[in-house]
Amino acid sequence: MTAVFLRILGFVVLITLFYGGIGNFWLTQTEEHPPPTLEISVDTDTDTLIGMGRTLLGAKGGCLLCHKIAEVGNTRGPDLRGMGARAASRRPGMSAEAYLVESLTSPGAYVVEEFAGPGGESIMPVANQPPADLSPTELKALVAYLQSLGGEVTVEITEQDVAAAAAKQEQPKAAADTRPGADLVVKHGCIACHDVKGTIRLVGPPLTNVRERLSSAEIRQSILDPDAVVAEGFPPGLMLKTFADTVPPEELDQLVSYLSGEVPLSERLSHPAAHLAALILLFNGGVWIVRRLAMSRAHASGESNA
Amino acid sequence: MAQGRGWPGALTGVRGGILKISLIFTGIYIVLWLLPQTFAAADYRSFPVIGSRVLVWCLAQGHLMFAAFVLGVPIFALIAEVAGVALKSERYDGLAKEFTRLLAMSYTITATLGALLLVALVALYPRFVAHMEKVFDPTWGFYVAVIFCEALFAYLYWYSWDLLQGPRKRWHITLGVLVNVLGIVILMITNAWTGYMMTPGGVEGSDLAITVTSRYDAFVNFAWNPLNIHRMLANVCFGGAIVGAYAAFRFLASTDDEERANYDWMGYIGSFIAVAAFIPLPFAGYYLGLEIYSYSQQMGVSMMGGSFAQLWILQAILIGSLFLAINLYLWLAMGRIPGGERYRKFQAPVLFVLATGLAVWATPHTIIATFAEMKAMGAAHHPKLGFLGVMSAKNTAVNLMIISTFITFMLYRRGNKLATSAFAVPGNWIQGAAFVAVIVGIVWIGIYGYFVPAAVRVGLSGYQPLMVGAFMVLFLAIEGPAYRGAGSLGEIRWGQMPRLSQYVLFFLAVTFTWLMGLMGYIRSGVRQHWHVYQVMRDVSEGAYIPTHGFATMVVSIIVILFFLFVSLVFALAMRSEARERRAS
Repeated sequence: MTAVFLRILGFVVLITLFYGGIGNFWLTQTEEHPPPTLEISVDTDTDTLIGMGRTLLGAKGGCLLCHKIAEVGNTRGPDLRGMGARAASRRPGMSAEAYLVESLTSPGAYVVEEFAGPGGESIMPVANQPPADLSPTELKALVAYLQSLGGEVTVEITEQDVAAAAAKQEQPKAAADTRPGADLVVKHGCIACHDVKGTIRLVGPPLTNVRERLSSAEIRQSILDPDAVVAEGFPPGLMLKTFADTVPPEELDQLVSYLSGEVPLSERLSHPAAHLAALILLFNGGVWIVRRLAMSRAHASGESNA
Repeated sequence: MAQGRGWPGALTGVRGGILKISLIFTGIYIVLWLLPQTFAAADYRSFPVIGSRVLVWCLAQGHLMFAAFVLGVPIFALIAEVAGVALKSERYDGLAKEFTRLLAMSYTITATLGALLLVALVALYPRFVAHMEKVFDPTWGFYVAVIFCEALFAYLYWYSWDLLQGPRKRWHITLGVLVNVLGIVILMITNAWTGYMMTPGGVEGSDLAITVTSRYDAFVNFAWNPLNIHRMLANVCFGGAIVGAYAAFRFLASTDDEERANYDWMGYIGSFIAVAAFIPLPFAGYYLGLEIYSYSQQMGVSMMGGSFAQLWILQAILIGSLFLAINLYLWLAMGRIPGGERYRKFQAPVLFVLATGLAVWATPHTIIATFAEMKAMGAAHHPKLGFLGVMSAKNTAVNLMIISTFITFMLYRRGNKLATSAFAVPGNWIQGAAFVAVIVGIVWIGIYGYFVPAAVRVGLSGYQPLMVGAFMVLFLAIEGPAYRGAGSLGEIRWGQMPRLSQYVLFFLAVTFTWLMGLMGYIRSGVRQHWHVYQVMRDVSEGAYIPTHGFATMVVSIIVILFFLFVSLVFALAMRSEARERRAS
């Protein structure tokens, strides 16, 4: 038995290594990393911008999956060689830059006939939305590169582009707070006036230690009637009095529970632990009872047979 | 895992199973509760040495393989049990029981791997889990409840096998139906989660700042239904292959002729199930691919023509090898059928079609080559062989391979039969004419595809499998009356199989498993640097596509680990059988 097992194990290892070997020695080995973030500013000169546009074309933009810029390449979309010149005359009255921006951000606005989908629609994804998700500055860099393919580069990076790009790339820095209610503090705008990280003083008192200062009933009152009791050191009348109308009751309960750390009975019962405990009790208890009944029945039938 | 001692004994077994599941869930809960109290809040955490991604990759794929096995086997165990009742055959009932024996221990391994996966995800990718929680929170409690129900009925199905025989058999079959219905529900819930990660719907916003606009759309996403169909077929196919491997192991380890005959038959049934479910699998895969393209052209292009393009060559080699192995097994099996030698003349043409088909299917269209190589070829693809690398040639090749395998199987079925019906000769002529027509049709569509635009070509590719399907239905419809009342040239000599045939069964099981690992990687990898495509970015250190070499080595390691665990399942099944024999 052991010899058979070892022979088969050896056979299994051999087959897996054969397939793994094809993957290692026959196929091309490249890693594909997420596209790097490019630093584009109003000072970026045109040549650098064109170079960045070329990088975006092949990497983050994913354009070369369908287009080509050399004799060899993909042909699902139009050949991009000479695009800078063609763009100026594609749509009457529209500049090359405007046409290229429109093609990237609204690909369905003008579809080159032979590259349309089965229903005549555009098959190209929108460049400033995921998955490419180019920022305004990246979009302009790409347009600059496309203009450079046989045309005149007219693109300029403005302060507004840089600000919009910065806003787009702003990623949430805080680690995820997954507790129920954490998202409501953001949703209802509490963080605009109250500090939740304990780092700065804002218009209202911080929420980081609110559970030490107030009970759940007081927190509820402070939300619904902010001036009933005002925290020391903060002037009355600043907080909006509209939350009673704008926050739905179930969200209010969740918000109070999150801020106070007190969990009401209804919420305790809807806690996953309560559900799991109920399932464990139900199934184990059910099987235990049925087994006891079967045992007594077997015992009784054994006695009656005797 | 012993049976016996009446209902109290059976319910003791069920109690043990439910207790195991309860302990696993309690363990998960305690660990998840301790995690935030032990570690500082973070979006990602690192796992030492192998890294978070490889750990989650191995656990997810391992869990998926065992889950596929425990969801696939009950489907054909139930079919075998029903066949046993319908044919009044104890042999089929015994086979169904033997299949089910393998499940008991597999449930525990599946649940343990699932528990480890969940803990790893929460510990290493908390931000991603928080996102999924926002979208799918209501499904999780339901999922746990269904798991408990599934475990209850599955253990009951196994432990009550001997108790619910005779007039009570219908209750046992009802239990089998419940096990399968619940298994499919589990599959559909988990497919909603993985489908959402690929083709999300029902949410607005990104990352954690999302609003769930329609939980229904998040659940019933683009990839959901194709995944349901594809995975259900794949589970049956995979389960059949593993059962075939078990039978092969028992055959090789046995010194008793009767036992070898039984495991030869079991291996044949296991491989038959695997092949029957395998034939429609490429079409289910095609449906999944279509839905991916419908959702996002870019994702589809990345999958087929971008980062993962070369892995489809490897997939072609794997599937081509499967076709070759299936045919080899059937030709070897014909050696134990009196009269089988009549069909030996067909071996060479079938082998030619399979080998040529494999070569065509594995031909890449565009090769990543150096500038000098491209200059020498004149393009990115070879001037002549490049034409074989496109969809028209590959679809033609795979459809011809399917037909060849079908013909081999039908010849195997005819092995010892001597047709006596008056319809046999005209039936044979009709079958032959249909065969020629379907071959001409498939090849014609393949050639025509070169002369039409891509959109038309894609549409044409659906007609080839339709023609193959129609041919199979017609062939089978004729086969029944043509061989009704057929004479026999002798009984099949079960157990008189060369040992090589049993290694072929293992080859099938390993190749199916490896293929599953590879396709799982591609399916998951097409999201690239997104946890949830276009909704939540993956900004962890593992957010990149590794080299094909690295990926295939991880798949190989997962497959080896899986088979080590499977050998444990085999050992426990054999121990349970030995205990049962001693008890009786």
